Amino acid sequence: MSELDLELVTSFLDEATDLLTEWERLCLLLEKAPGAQELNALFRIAHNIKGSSRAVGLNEVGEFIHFIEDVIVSLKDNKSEFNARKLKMFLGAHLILSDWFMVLRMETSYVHPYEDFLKEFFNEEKVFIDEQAVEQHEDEKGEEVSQKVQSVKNVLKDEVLRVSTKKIDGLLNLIGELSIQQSILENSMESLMGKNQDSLVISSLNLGRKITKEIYSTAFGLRMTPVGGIYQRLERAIKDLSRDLGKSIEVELNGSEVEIDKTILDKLIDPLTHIVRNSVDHGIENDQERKNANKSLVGKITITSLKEGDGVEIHIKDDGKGLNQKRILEKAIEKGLVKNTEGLTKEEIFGLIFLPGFSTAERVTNVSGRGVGMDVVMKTLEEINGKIFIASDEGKGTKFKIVIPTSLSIVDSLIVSVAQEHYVLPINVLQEVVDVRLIDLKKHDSVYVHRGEVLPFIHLREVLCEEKEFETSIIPILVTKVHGNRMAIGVDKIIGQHQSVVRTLSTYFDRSFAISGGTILPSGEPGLILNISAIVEKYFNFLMKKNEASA
Amino acid sequence: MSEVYEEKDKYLVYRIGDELYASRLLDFVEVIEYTKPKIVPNMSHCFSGMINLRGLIIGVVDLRKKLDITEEFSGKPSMLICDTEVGPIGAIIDKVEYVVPFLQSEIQDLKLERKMDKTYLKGFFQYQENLITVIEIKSFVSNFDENTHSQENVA
Repeated sequence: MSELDLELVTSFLDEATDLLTEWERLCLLLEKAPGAQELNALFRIAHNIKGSSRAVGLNEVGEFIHFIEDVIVSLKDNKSEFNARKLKMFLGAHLILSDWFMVLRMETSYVHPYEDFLKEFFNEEKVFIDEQAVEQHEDEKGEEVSQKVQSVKNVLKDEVLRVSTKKIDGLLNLIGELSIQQSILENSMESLMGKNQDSLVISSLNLGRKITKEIYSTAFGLRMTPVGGIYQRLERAIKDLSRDLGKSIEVELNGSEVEIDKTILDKLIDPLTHIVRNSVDHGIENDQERKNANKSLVGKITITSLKEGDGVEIHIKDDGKGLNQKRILEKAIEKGLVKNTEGLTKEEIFGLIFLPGFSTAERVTNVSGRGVGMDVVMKTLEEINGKIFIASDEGKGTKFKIVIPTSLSIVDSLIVSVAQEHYVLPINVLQEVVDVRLIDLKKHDSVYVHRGEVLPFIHLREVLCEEKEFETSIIPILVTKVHGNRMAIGVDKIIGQHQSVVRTLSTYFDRSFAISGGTILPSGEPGLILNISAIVEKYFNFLMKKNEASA
Repeated sequence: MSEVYEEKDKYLVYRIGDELYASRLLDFVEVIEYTKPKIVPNMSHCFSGMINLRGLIIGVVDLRKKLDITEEFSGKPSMLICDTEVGPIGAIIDKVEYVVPFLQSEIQDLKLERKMDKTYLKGFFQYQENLITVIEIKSFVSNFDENTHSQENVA
C-alpha cells in the first residue's frame, strides 16, 4: 500500500467526491420517482468509482462498491423492486464512502470498516436482504471510526482549501500595483514636502511600506508548495525502472518540506524524472559490475532539497559508475559538437552532455534514449531560470546539482535602454557587462573579440527595431551564455538593476519572439522582459555562419 | 413601439474618422483615458504597443490604422478595453458617442458595399440620420495580423 501514488489517489478522490455528490442527488431523485434513467446513472457512478479505485490501487474501495453495484444491477434488470430499504442502503453507502474518501486524503492505506453496514443489509452470501434486519447497535468500533473521521475532518478543515492560482495571481497583481504606488509616493515625497518633512507622514509611509511588503510575502507564500509533492513520483519512476532493468536501488529522500512555487515545481517534474531515470539506467551499474567493483549490490540514489540563499537547490546523487570523461569527449568530437578539446576543464566536459544532439547511451534504450536528451532538461531548466551543475567521480558516482529560484514571479534584472525604450533583461543569463569603443568593434563582421575569444555580436536595435545604426562612440556590451553558446549583445545604455515582478502577458504577445514576459518598471510604465535565449538561438548560428563565410 | 431591449441589445457607438461604428456594449470592459502605448517590437503595424492597466499589461490596437483611416484626428483619442478570447485588448478610437439599444433584427445586412471582411462587419443601422456600421469587436481587435479588407474585394 505504501507505494500508492499520492497524486493519483488525490486526483481519484477529487473525481470520486464529485461523483458522490451526484450519487446523493440521484438517490434523492429516486426517492421521489424511481426511474430507469436514474438507476442507469447510479450504476455508471458505482462502476466508475469501482474501476478507477482499482486503477489507483484502492482495491478495498472497489470491493465494497461491488456489493452495491450488484444491487443496482438487479434493479436495472427488473429482478428486484426499488424500495425505501434499498434507498437507505444507497444513502448508507454514500455516507461510508464520503467518510472513507475523506480519511484517504490523509492516509492512503486507510480502509474504512463497513462490516456493520454489510450485516445490516446483506446476508452471509453477500446477497442483499430486503427485510429489515434486527435492531441496530452502535458498538465501540463504530464510535472509534466516527472519531477518526471527525478528527480528519477537523484537520482538513484547517489545512486544505483549494484556491485557483488565478485568484492568487490576481491578488499578487494588486499587491504589486500597490507597492508601485507606494514607491511613486515615496519618490515624490521629497519634491512635495521639501525640507520640512513631517515626521508623522514619514513614519506612516514607512509603516505602510513595511505592511505592503508583509502582505506581499504572505500572499506569495500561497503559491508555494513543498517539493515532497513530486518526490513520490520520482521514487516511483526509480522503482519502476529499476525493476524493469533488474537493478536493486535504494532511494533516500531529504528535505521534502522545502517550498517552491507551484508553477516551477510542475515544470521540474519532467527534467527531474529524466535525470533520475538516467541515473538508474546509465549511472547505477548492474549486479555483476557492482560486484566486480566491490560495491554493495544495492545501488543508492539520494534526492535532497535545500534552501540556499534566494533559491532552492535540488541534488540528485547516485553511487554508480560516474561519468566517463574520455567517452564524453570522443562522443562530442564524433558528433561535431566540439572542435578544440584541449584545456577543457572537467566541468566543461560534463557540460557537453547538455548540448543538443548528444547522448551518451551507446544503445538507444526505450528508457533514456527516447530522443529527449539532457538538452531538453537544460532547456526546461532555463525556462524557469534554473541552472544545473554536475560533479562526478569515475567509479564512485555522479551528483547533479540543480539551482532554481523559489519563484518565477520576481527576477533580478538589468534595465537597459534601446532606441529610447527601456527593456528588462534577466540577470542570470548575463555573464559580464563591458563598455566597448565602437572602433574596437568589428561591427560589420558582427563579431566582438572578447579577451581573445571571438563572440558573435548583435545590437538589440537590430533585433528590436531593425535599425542598424547607433550613434554613440562607446556602447555597453552584455556577454551572455545560453545553451553553452556565448554571445555579445549591444545596447544603448544601462539604466540600472531592478527586482522585476513578472506579469504574464496575453498569448498575442507570443508573436514577438524576443519577449518572455512583462513587468511594471519603477516608473509605473509597462516594460518587456527580453527572451535572451530566443535571441541567441535565432542569431547565434546565423552569425556564426556569416562569419565563417566572410572569413 | 413595444420592443423590449435587453442588456445584450445595447450598442456602444463610437467615432473613427468621419464614420460612426457600433459594437455590442457587453463586449467592452471599460472606457479609459488615452495613455500613450509603449512600443512592443516585432508586432504588426496596427498594434500600437502596450499599456499598464492597474498592474495588468495589455496590448493596444489602433483601429484607425486597422481601418486604414488616414485623416488626422486633432482631439485626444479614447481607449476602449475589450475582453477577447486571447485576453483584454485596448482599442484606440477617436471618440465615444453614445449607447443605443438595437435589436438584432433591426440591423440591416450589407448588400452594396463590402469593404470589410464579413466576419467582423455585421451590418448597418440607421440612427438619428446617421448610418452606423456594426462591428464584431472581439474578433476584430484580436486579429491584428489580418488584412482588414476581404480577399474577394482585393481581387
